[in-house]
Amino acid sequence: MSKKVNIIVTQPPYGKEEVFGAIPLAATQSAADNEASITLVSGAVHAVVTGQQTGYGDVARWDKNIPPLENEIKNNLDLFDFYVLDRDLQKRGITDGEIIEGIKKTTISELTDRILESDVTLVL
Amino acid sequence: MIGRRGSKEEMKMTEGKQITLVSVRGPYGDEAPFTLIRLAHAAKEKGITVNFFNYLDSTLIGNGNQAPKEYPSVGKLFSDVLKKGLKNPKADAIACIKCTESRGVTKTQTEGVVIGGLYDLAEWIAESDKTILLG
Repeated sequence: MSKKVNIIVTQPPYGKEEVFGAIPLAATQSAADNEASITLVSGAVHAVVTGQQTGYGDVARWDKNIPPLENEIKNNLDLFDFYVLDRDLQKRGITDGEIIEGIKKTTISELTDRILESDVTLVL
Repeated sequence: MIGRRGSKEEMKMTEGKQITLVSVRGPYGDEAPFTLIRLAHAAKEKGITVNFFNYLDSTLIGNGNQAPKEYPSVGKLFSDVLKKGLKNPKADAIACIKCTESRGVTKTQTEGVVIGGLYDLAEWIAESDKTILLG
């Protein structure tokens, strides 16, 4: 039976792996006819800021760079809905102009509705 | 009570149900793996089939040869719950291949852990009565 899968991520990108893990988790749900969405809250909202650059220096020394989350998000935007909590952006001073195009701002009230409507809510 | 099977009434309500337990954290950073394993035993005692999906650092939970000096071995506890699940109700475990490959633990997973991927999790979510993420 297909399910509505509501994935909430609270952990910030780069220091933690949760946002990076949540994206393929959501992207693969359609293979089982599940319908997924991701909502970024708390420190995870930093993942939607544009202009992300990764790398620790000399590529020869570091083998390869960590892929910027911005690219991962953009590549998967057509597969599922990607939300970010508006108040948590405000708290961190992230303005609308800094957000990746296609990301939907959401409220805590709308997130509550999504939790109630979903069959499964996974919090990372 | 440890090892207690559910009452007949409880078993009737829960028998044949299926729960998927997703985890993402490593074995010794916090107490979550212990809770996960206790929860799995309790579910099995109620006749519920348990599916473990070990993702990210939690692929280390099912890794063999863990020998902590001062803690119980999470690997051994995990292996025991899987062994107890050979008959009904079953306990199956899948470890995410991308995660095990990056941590070098694909070939050292304990017996009963199947190397799989997120597509397997999507199917388990679709099939299961409940799916939760714990730790």
